Amino acid sequence: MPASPRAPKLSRQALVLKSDFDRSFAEPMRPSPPQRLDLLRIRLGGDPWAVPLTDVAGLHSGRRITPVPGRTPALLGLAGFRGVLAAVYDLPALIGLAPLGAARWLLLAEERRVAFAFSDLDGHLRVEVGAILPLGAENGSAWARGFIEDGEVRRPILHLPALLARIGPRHQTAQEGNDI
Amino acid sequence: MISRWTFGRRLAAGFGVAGAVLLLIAGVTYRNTANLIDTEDWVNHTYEVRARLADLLSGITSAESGQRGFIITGTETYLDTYRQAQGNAKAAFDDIKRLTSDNPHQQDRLTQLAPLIETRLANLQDAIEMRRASGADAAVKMIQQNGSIGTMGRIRSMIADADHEEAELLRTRTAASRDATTFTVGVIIWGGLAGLAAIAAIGTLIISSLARQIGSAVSHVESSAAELQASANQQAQSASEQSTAMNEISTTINELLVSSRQIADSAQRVAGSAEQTAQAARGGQGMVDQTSDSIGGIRRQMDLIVTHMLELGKKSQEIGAVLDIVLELAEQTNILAINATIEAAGAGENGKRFAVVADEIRKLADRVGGSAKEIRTLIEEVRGAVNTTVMATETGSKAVDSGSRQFLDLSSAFRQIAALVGSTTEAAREIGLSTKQQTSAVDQVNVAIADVTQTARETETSASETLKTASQLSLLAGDLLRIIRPGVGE
Repeated sequence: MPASPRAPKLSRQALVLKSDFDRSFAEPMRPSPPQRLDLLRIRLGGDPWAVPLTDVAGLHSGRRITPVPGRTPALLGLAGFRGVLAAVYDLPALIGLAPLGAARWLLLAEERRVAFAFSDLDGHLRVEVGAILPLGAENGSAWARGFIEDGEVRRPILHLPALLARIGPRHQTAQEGNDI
Repeated sequence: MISRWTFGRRLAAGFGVAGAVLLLIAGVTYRNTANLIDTEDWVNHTYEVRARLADLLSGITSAESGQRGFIITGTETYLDTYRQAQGNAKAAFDDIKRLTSDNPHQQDRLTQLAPLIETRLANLQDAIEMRRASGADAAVKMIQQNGSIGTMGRIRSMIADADHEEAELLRTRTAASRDATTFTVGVIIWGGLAGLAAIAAIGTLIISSLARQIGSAVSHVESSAAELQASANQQAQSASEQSTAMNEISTTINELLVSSRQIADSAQRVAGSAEQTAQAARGGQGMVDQTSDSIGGIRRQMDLIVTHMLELGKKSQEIGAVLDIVLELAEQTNILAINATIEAAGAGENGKRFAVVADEIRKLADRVGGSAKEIRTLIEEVRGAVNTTVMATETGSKAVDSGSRQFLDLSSAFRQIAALVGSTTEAAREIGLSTKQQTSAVDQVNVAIADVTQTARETETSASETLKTASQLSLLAGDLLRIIRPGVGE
């Protein structure tokens, strides 16, 4: 089998990683400018979306979801996060997209009582605040608060507080459960 | 029936008839001549008898004369005459008796005459004795007394009778001789005329028959000569064509001979090439065997490669599993970094430094995850390559197996080639031998054809001669026809 040309590249890449990692600890601390915003790049029903990290309390994967009966079809069940139960909702279903097949990723909301399940995570994205553009008349604008240009992809920024407000009366059930 | 007789038989029959006529004439003539001679003999015999009768009488008379002379004269000389005459008379009597032995009358007469002659001679002797003893007178007297005159008279009479009988016989025999002569002359004349007529008739018959049949035969001969001429012409033409054809055949045979020799040379070269091919096939078989062994080695090496590749695939799979762990760890690290960022943002000013660390960890996790994905891609490529290699190796192994089997087949084919080439060599040798024999046979055929050609030429010459002979025969037939049929062809 011929030697892959990527092997030296990977070696160099590993070396670069190691040096960058070491340098990050060697350089003096430079606080991030306040005008930047950290986003999670996700996909809902195949469409690119972005979620501000400031709206979530944590990102988890592979959590066991225990189904519970409920009135909302988007309610998948309950999951535990460090001793706290949270109601897990199907995020695409909440915003009117096709329901999930399998919920891999869970976004724990700021209140830590509600979690949103989705299937695809594209990664982290840090943008300037000024890069957030206002929405026009696009679909899903009820759950978005602007959008950003991620390369050639336009990502609406999901407005989690609006979703929490929509399911507000219901997520008290989990609160009640935790109280019990 | 006579028309079927041959010319020789006809001629023999004609000459036979003529000869028979002549023989008849000759026989009759001979018989008449013999009869005539016999008659003449009897005539002569009669003349001789009559002469001897005269001699007898003369002898007795002479004896009387001598006796009388002696008695008269007493001279002894007369007795000599007496004795001679007495001997003559006795000799004549004996001859007469011998000559007339076939005549009983004469024999009887001689029987009667003999004592008379004896008596007469005894009287003469007695008178002579008397003369000597008593003288002439006594003797005369005695002669007068003894009756000698009568005895002598009877003797004369009997001799005259005998002579008369002989004279009668002489007349009879003379007449018979004349008749026989006349008959013989008649037979000769008339027989000759008859024979001549018969010969003329037979000759005419034979000549006309011969002329007719020979003419017919000559006509046949003439037409046969014409046919023979035509046949000879055709034969000469055929012989000429045959000679030409034989020359062409001889040329073809010579070309065939050259071809046969070329075939023999080619067969010899083929045998040599086949022998070299057999050696090459044996060498090829050895090479195939060696290659088959090499293929076995390749097969074992490929099995080893497959084993190593499977081991490599297994290791790659293990690496993939490890890489999954790494990827999961990177993902978890990324999640932790994101959560750390979230927590750092919640920690206010104190969390900012932590946020920086979390950000670096997240970046590192992102890059590790990217690298892990690349490695996974590489691993997948390696596994794919291993699978492809294994499949290719197995395909190669199958190909090697197939090649090995094909090499076995090839080895078998080389053996068959060697065997077939051996057969080819043998066949080429047999072809060469057969072609040499064929060449020898063709040589013999060539010689035979040369003989046939020579024979054809001789036949042509002979046909020409036959043509000439036929022409001459035709001319001769014409001449012969003119000879036997005058006026024909003139």
